[in-house]
Amino acid sequence: MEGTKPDKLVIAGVEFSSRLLMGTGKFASPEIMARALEASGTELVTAALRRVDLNDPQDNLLRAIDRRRYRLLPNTSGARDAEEAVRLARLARAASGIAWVKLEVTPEPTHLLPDPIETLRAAEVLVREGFVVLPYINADPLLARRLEEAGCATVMPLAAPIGTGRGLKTRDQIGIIIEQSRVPVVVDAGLGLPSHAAESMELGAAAVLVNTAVAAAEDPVTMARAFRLAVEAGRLAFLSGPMGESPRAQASSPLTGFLWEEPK
Amino acid sequence: MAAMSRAGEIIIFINGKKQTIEPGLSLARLLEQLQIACQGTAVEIDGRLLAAGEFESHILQPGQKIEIVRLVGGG
Repeated sequence: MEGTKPDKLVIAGVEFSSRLLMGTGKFASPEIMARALEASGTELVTAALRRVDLNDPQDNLLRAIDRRRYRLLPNTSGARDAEEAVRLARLARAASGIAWVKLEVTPEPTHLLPDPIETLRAAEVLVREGFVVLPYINADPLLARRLEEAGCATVMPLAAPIGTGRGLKTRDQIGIIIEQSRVPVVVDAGLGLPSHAAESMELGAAAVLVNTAVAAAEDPVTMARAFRLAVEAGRLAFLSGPMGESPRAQASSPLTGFLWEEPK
Repeated sequence: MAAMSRAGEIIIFINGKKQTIEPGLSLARLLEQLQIACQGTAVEIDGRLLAAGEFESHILQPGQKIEIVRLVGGG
């Protein structure tokens, strides 16, 4: 393919050239966020739904994001059960006109792990209501399959608990999910370094989603670019058919013609 | 609950905070007074999601709980 063939990420029939999804939380300012998004090359960015601050009613994320350039993906962060998630998704659709939703149900505050049962319940309702549902899940292959069967557009297994930056701790489970899934597998949460993103892509993930790793870096704009390069490198490596591992050394240089060899 | 205050004003709850408003106020007018653009905003009243077309016609009633939300940065 020589790196020239179009290699698009397709979610619910929509094509994306970038395989890096970006979160928009925790940035020091809207300006830094905008520059980081640009440097990342992303085309799909997440957002949360919250009460308008009555003391600062002009504050509006949508104004800081160029909607012609980035597709918005509202999430249901903060939802503790299926009912709350469905309510947030409906509100987000009413506020933004967007029927895509990153479904998150995280009832437990310490590790913020997603509740599999409530997530599946909410997904079934939202798919019925016409939403394009991208569920955030623990790296559970059976749950991933159930969500795919329920009509979800992707599955988004976590690499490690959100915001921990610990990398691909769920590698083996995500490998199974990638192997079995017919919808894009987006590795979400817990990636702290570009190498983690590259590893996910080398494993065969369709995309990764990053927020804190970029927003909390000393230089978010440069880190965004680093993640962009890592995702591209990992994807190209996956498509290139990596060599297999070997238990023994295999010399790279010829094993003949050594200068101390005696003529035969 | 005393949802009426003096001078005929009524009490409602906006994003969890008690507020006093004039009677007969529409939701659209309330948003205008709060300097909140309708664009990009969703509103729930007593748990019911309002369609954008209802903002003008909905007259706020005493004791109503109003949630005004929009998208913010998030992951």
